[in-house]
Amino acid sequence: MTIQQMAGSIQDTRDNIGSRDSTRNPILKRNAELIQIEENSTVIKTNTIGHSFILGHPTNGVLGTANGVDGEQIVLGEAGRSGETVVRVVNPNNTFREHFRDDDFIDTGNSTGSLNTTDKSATTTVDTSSWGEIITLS
Amino acid sequence: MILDIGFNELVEDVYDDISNGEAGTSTTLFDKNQTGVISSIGSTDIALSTKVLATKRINATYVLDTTLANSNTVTEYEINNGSIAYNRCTKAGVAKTSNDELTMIHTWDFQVII
Repeated sequence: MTIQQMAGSIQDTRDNIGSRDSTRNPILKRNAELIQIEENSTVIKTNTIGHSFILGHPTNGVLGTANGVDGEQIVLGEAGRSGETVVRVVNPNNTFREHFRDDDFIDTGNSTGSLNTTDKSATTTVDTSSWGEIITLS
Repeated sequence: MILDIGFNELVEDVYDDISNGEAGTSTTLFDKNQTGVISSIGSTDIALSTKVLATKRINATYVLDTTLANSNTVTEYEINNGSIAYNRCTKAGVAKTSNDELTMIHTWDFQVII
């Protein structure tokens, strides 16, 4: 290609480019939304039948003469049970996250701060504190 | 944008779908590729005791009464819809006897993050 041809080619390119493009590519707003399912800590409890009557149970299913598994006279209904005792608290992937959505794990005996499960917040001021309770038990 | 009513419908669908729990004795650590309890204890695939739908939260309670899983050390359990397990929870074993009931309370929270 001669110099004259090159100059002509450059001129053609300039002609084709023309004036500066004034169009704009629209920038679309995209909401990056993520639906999250969070598994919270699992609580496992036991409740010993004590001396409550359990139909068909080898010990607590016999009224009158036998004693319940706790050694006391069997009664009808729920009355003779030990009551539920927390034996395990299992945190998914060994991680406990407190979102203040409930007060299940708040140590109400020692906490003096305030907890708001509606706003999902805990407020502590000078000389107050909030404590977690049994957040892990295995 | 995901609407609140659509999101609530999704949570309700999960709530309506879950129905059962099942217990087992495997000590294998959980992994997302698993399909449920690994060493199932017979007759423990039973209906949930209760399930509660709250705002963006599902609470499911599974109870092994005095007749179930006796003489087993329960180490794992799942919540399922009758066939497909939603989760698998593993824990240090709890010895189950006919003298006690074992209650497992599970909670899931749902939220949309923008």
